[in-house]
Amino acid sequence: MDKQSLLARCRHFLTDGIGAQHLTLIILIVLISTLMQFFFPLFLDPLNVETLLMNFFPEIIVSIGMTMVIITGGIDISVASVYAFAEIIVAKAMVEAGWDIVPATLFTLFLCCLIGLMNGYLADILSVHPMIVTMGTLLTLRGVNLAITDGRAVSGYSDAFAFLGQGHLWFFPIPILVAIVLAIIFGYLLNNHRYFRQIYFIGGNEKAARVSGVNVRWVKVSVYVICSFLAGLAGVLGASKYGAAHWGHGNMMEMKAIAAVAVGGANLNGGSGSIGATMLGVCFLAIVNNAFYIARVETFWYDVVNGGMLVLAVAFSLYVNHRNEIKLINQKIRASNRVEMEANQ
Amino acid sequence: MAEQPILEIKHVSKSFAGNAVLRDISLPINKGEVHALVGENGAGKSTLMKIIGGILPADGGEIFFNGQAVRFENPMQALDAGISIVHQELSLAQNLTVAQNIYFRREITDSLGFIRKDAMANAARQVFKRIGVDIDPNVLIGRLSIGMQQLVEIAKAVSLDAKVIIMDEPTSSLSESETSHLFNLIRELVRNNVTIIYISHKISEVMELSHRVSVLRDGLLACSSLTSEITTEEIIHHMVGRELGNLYPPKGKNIGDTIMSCQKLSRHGFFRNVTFDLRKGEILGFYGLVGSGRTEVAMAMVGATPITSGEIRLDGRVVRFKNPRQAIGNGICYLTEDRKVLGLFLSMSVRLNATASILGRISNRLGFLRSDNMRHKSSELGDYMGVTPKNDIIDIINLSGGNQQKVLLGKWILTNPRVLIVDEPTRGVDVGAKSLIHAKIRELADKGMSVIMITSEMPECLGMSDRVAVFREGDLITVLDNPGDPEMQKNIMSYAVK
Repeated sequence: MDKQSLLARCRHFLTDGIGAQHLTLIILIVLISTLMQFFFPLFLDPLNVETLLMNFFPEIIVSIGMTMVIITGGIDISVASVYAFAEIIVAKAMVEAGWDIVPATLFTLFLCCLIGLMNGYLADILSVHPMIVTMGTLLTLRGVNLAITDGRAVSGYSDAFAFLGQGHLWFFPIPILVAIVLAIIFGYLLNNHRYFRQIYFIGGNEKAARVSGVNVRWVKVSVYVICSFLAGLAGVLGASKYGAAHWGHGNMMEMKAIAAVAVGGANLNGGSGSIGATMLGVCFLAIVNNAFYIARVETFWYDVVNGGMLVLAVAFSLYVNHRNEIKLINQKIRASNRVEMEANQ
Repeated sequence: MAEQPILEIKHVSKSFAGNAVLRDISLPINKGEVHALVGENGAGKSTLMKIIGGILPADGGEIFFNGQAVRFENPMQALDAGISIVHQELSLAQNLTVAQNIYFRREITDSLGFIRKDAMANAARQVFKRIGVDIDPNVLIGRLSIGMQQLVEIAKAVSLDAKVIIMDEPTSSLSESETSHLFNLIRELVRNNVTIIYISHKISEVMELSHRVSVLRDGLLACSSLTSEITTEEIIHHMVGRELGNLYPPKGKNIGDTIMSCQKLSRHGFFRNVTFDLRKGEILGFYGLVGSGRTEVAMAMVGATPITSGEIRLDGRVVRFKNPRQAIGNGICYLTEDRKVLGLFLSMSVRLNATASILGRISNRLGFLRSDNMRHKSSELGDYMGVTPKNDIIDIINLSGGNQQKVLLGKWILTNPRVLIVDEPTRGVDVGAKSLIHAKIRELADKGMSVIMITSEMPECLGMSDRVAVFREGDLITVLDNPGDPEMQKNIMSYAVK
């Protein structure tokens, strides 16, 4: 690439709202970490970093799927109960039905994909807002989770399964490794694969995407399937990590995932967002959360900060949109002046 | 005429973004007459009405109402003065009742501000009685047919004690019996000294109903005359009588055999029995007035909307596209008239927009996009279409309308289509982009691409197309060979109106 275009790109990144938002986020993360490290030298201790990440690995995995759904202009709030459902099914399959790890996991993930298929298909066929469809799934599935467990935890699986959620590969806890690998894979696909590129077109302008030859229905449904699949995968790892499956696990996870995407700067109306940005969003939430624990602040305040951050992030996006609109208007005026000049000549 | 006109328009002009839409229009409207206003699409009829009704401000000139100069800042002031507009797209709230719509913004309330529904319904009933219409005031507007809704709009105007009622294409979606009912109502209103300004494409209606007819052409008042003193032929002559310059590329040279044909294509409620052939290397113009079904035919041809009956043949083979993707796969593309809604991905870069339909060709076998391919294709398009600025990583929203249109046209050219359907390809673009787009379309046709060009602009239709298919109210009336001489205008127009 030639220098000029590189320069243009840099300037574009800095003046473009989304780029600026990422930069702000990175600066905030570094700032909070430095301050915390200064006052609580244990903050950046590998052990604390591991705790910090382990507390948030389900959110990392789930927010990958959520990013894709939100880029299409949809939303999936059923992920929390899909997560708990996966925990329960994989546990029951092994503990009560005596299945092996692999078939139990595959069966669980298959069921989760079916749930995603249903979400996507209903939202598309009935053209009901995905918020409503997935809210229905969230509540129904939570009821199912309660009913099939009688509200009790399911536990007692093998050490081999426990290794999935608790074990390490070299120095890395396996769930975190899985989350990072997934983020890299999907991040790369979203940037570089034609199939995933279509997600952006759908979110940017669904009708135009259809006229441009995108199979809108199929792509949208598949995104919900991926989202439920990832929630299910997080659930399987979660069951292993906690050593027990419980219907209440993962509660409010959908909100954290959506918050991560929003803080990362994606437009909730669709068309923009990236896995990298969402990861910054999750990191931010995880660090703020951890800071509260370390500093022994009453954790009740955590949600206050979280909520405040979300509102700020959205306000920032709106500001950027607004500024773009002004730019558009100015450009229109310039264009019309040009027309007039041509007419006068 | 002894009496002073109720409404007098003096030297009104208006331009949008440097394009003059109305030039120095002066027109008196007499009390108690039906004054018809006719003209081609874009002649300025609707703009003039919007200025009278306070929806748009005029750039210059004055309007006198009852002898006094008025300047309405908003539609409410016009309404209060006694000027009502019945819009082409009705402006009633679909989920409110008839009575609530009629008394919208002036609800009948008790002293505490609560709405008195029964009193409102009774008042509405009185209005309906006055104009001889039988509609239940408690029914939801959405449950009524378009024709009935139109009557409610007129009842609303009457209840406001309107002196002047402007009707914009009131019969465009009415059945024959509804139309005759409307005409009776208009005659009744005129007997009660209400003045009607009647905008229409349909000259037969104008001849039947109006006392006086005025013709607008390109923002100028071409003629104004008593209806009894003018013939249909003269009206058409005034609508289109203009010279054609040498603005357009030459006609097609090597036109081949039929490659695509539509047989009795119908979509219920939109178009009927549309039959035509499209030949290799020709530009087939689709001319018609707005709402004549041209865009709907195009959308159905590429599978964006369903077909009720009929068939499409491509190379003699019957094809039926379920979605635009299949049409694109067969080399048939549609460039939309509605850039914002159906064309652009506004928040994305020029490069992404340019390559949206050729993802398959810029990726490797596993579907991974090759960024060098993408950059190459995008800049190839930019050079060919002369898109400025050359930097294609900026969001397309920052481009001017003309450059956006160049990108959209280029996007389809990149797919190498055999049949390209362009819908109002030069709407809202500047003069330079317009002639470039014309030249490119002709160049592609000469290279063997077949083009269907939907246009509402008569000069563009004459200048560009080799043949012209004329549409009227969902029917393809005729296909005419087009030598491009000015005499063709009247010929085409006489098929398009009536």
